[in-house]
Amino acid sequence: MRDLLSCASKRRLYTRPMINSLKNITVVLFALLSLTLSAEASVSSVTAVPSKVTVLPTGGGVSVTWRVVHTISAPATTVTSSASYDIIINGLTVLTVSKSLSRTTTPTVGVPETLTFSEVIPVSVTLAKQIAKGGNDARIQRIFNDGLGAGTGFAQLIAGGGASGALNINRIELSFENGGKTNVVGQNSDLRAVAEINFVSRGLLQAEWRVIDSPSIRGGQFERRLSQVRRQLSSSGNGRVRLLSPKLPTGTTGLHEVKLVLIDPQTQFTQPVLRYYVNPNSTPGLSRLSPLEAFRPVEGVPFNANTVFDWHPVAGAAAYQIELFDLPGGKNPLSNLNAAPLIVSPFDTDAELVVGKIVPGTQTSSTFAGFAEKHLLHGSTYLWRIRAISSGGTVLAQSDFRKILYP
Amino acid sequence: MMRFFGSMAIVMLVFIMGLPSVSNADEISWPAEFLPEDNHDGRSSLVIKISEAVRTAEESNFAVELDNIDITGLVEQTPDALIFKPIETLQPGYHTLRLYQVTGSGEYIEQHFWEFTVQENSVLVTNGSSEQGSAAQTVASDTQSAPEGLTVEASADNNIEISQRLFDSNIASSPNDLTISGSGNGALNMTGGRWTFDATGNYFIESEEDLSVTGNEIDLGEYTINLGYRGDAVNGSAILGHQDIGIESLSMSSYMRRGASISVGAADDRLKFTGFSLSSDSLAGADDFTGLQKKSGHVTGGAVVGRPVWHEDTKIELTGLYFASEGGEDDFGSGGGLTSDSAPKGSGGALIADSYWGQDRLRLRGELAFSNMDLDGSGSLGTDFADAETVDISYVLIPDDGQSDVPLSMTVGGKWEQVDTFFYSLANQGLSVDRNSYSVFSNLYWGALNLNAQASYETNNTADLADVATDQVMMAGVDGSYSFSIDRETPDDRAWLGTPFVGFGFNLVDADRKETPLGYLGDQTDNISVNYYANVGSSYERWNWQLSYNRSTFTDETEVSSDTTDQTVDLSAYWTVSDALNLSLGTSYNQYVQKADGERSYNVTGNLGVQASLIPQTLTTNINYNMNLSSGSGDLPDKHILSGEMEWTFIPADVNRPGVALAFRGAMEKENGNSDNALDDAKYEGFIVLRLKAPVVY
Repeated sequence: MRDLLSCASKRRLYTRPMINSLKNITVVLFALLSLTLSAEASVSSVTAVPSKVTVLPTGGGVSVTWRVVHTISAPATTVTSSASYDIIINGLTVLTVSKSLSRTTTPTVGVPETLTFSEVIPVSVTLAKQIAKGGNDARIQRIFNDGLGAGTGFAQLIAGGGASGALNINRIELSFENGGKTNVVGQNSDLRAVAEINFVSRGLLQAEWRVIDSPSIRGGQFERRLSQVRRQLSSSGNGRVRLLSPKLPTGTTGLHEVKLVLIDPQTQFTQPVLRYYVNPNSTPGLSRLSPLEAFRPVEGVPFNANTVFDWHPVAGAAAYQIELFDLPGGKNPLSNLNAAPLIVSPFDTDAELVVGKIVPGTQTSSTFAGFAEKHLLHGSTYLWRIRAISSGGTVLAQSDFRKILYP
Repeated sequence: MMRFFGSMAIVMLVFIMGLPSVSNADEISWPAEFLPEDNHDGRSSLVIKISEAVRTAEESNFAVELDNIDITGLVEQTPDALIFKPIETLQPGYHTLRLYQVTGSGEYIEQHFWEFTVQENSVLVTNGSSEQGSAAQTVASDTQSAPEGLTVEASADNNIEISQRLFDSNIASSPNDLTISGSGNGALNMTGGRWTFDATGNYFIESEEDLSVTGNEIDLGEYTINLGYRGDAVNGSAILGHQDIGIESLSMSSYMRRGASISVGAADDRLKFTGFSLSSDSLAGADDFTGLQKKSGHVTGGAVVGRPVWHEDTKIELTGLYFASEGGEDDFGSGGGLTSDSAPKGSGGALIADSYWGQDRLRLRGELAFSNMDLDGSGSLGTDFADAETVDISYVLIPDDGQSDVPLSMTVGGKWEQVDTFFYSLANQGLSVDRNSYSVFSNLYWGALNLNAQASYETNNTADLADVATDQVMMAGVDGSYSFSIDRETPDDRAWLGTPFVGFGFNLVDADRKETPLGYLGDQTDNISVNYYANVGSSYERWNWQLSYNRSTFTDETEVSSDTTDQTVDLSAYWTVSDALNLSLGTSYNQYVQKADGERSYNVTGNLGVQASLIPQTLTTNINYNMNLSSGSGDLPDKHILSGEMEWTFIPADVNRPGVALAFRGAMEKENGNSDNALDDAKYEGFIVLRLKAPVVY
């Protein structure tokens, strides 16, 4: 191009017709040139969404969606791709990672096409530290090329840890109330799942407790919503919340599946699932993993001398003992993470037994005598359980711990 | 083994005179005397001498309490004594025994209170009655042996289901028509002298591998095997399987994992050593039976717990914990966190001092925890040493003296906790790091009113990283409950009220920016979350109900995110109509408003459950209906699910006798409002299920 212009400028002494001809040629050449340039810069923009991504000092994954706009000038099938991304801190490329993003399309000629590429980029602790100390200039950069031209986009990396930035779920752990990840329970047992969630920053958590009952688990897998969770989470950076599921269905025997489906924010990991098995009736097994089935009192019923404790008989039981314990951690709610009405100890407690009652093995229900109340403090919450004891003094079965309020 | 049992089987129990009674002497009208039997072992009878004439006077009855446990139901009555044979061996140590008179009107009057101590290796038995502060009596007792026999108890509950698909419609997946599944629990308990052996576990069978609990068609679930020894001076245990070594710390909390541990301690619990190696991954199945394989990661270390002072008035407990750790490859039941791509490794530990003073009125606890972890496990980047500290204090400001007509008690406390930015422990992965927090609380109960209040202040960036913004979060909350006490002249008097109760709560969280780094490019922080709730309910002899309301609002002053309002009303009830029919009902209404874009969504859920025994012990049925209706922004298809089962029991299962039952089981799902109408077609399927159950007890 430069040669052509140079050539034209050197021949100013040519006649006007010639000059006009040259002008026309020049216009054509410019037009051709502009078309050529247009074809070479087919990728017209690369935008990162979000444009600013928060990175914790301890690292972790960050989600970025790239929006790539390109246009073709002639019918063609294009491959738009980016072979790698760069982490740039203070103008220096500190890390280049080969990770290809690619999409093959056939766009309409002259109509800009927008392609989106989503990815999760791991940020190591070391890198996160560099970003935190990098003088506020850190970014992820990708170059996309559709074969006809390239474009560059970047997302700013912000050292995070505070309450700004979008809510992000770091980790979720599901378990049953007794701390186990598997469970075999008797029919109509009181069973709940617990989700312990670690999050960053603040925002609205939207989730659903869902369960698949045994009648449809081997085919349709009809997933029904037990409850909806909407919780505004706040923290000074890192937070933790425990969610207790509603009572899980145990009326129908067989295999069931339960999970907490996080709707917003979306997670960068596979969400865990727990399965449990409901057995037809009582289990004459032992406590730890085969709990005694206690039906009453149900949750929310306060303790008094008329409160009925009701349980399923256990074969071989010579006696049943109903026991109330202090909450582990005492009455200090600050040292008790379990603000939710859930069980706090997996299988046993070191807490002192506060009051109890032992009845013959022929009984399957009982109330406490009035004098039991003198051992209790009004307004306190206790853990209760029932144990089945053999004539030899061995504990045959034991119910899970449940909370009960003595108002 | 038996010789060892024999040599260890001698247990000498002595009852020592107790303290004077605290009961009201004016009310004492029953002459009674607490006597040990001539021969005592761990389960010898407790005998209270009292004549029948006294007991039956004025149509009175009696009640007996041992260590706050009402043992009346197992007390044997003879013409001149009440005898209780402990079903569980009384542990060495301090015990209390109370005798109550139950009047014709149902009142309980404490007539006697005895204290005694069960000691080991002693031949002296002393007992004393509280009555009138009488002088102590001293009685000699023979040295006795502990039971030498070996007792073995085993039990298992086994269930198998063979399911055959009968029909289906619009079911997209293609599972096998014939499937087998099952599960069970098992337990084995052996006791011989001072030794105990307990093993428990569960297992799963599932012919559809995709539905299996652990990924294997036949597999173990979780299990625990515990070998214990209780000696005169030393106690010990060795545990294999799922366990929690019982230490609560910033470094290790509710850490329930598979592995092995050995504990040795003094019989009086004054000193205890524990060595452990537990998997860092949560495990189920038999692939890594012991939990000690490298792929499961590990947390390996030891703990020592000492109680240099442990009296009624003052208690001091010191704990030291240290462990080395490495992340594993797969964490069952978990997602996220530091994954196998960057399996962290390093060490951690804690020093804890816990104490109770003034008969437990004052509690002081302090902890220093540390972690020294290579967080991305590369080995080349070195480790991050970080620590975490906490100090908390609580004090019973107003103790309940038990004398007031309206009981009153109040406890107050506070806590400081700081966790470094780079603190990380595989034994407490859920711990929130990078925060410095101060919090206070109070608990008040006054009659039937229970009121709790707490407040906290928290900041981040404990590492003072130059480019990290420092935010502060202030939280204040109050919650309480009140249970109505209704004086009824007859049981039918205002029976419709049942036993009502109410609950309420309020919580406010205010987040603000404290320090913004120079040139900071991130968003500002200035938002408030408010949540409050109220619930009311009542319980009756056969049913109960509860109604609750919850409202949450979020206001973002920076306009970075939308203000929102969420509110839910929930009603639930459970009714035992008869021994043959149970009903459960629940419904909730939810409204969510996102103010920035005016989006509103509404959701209604409902469920109804019916369980009925049509022919007792033979024909039973249960039906469940569930609906989810949504509307407004982000409308989802309405969904109705109906499922049920009817079972005919041919042979009822009993101990050591298998049972057989045949059931018809089915489910249907119907959606409305899909963009593709075809998806609105009802999906349903039905199965016939042969059910075998085999409870075994030895």
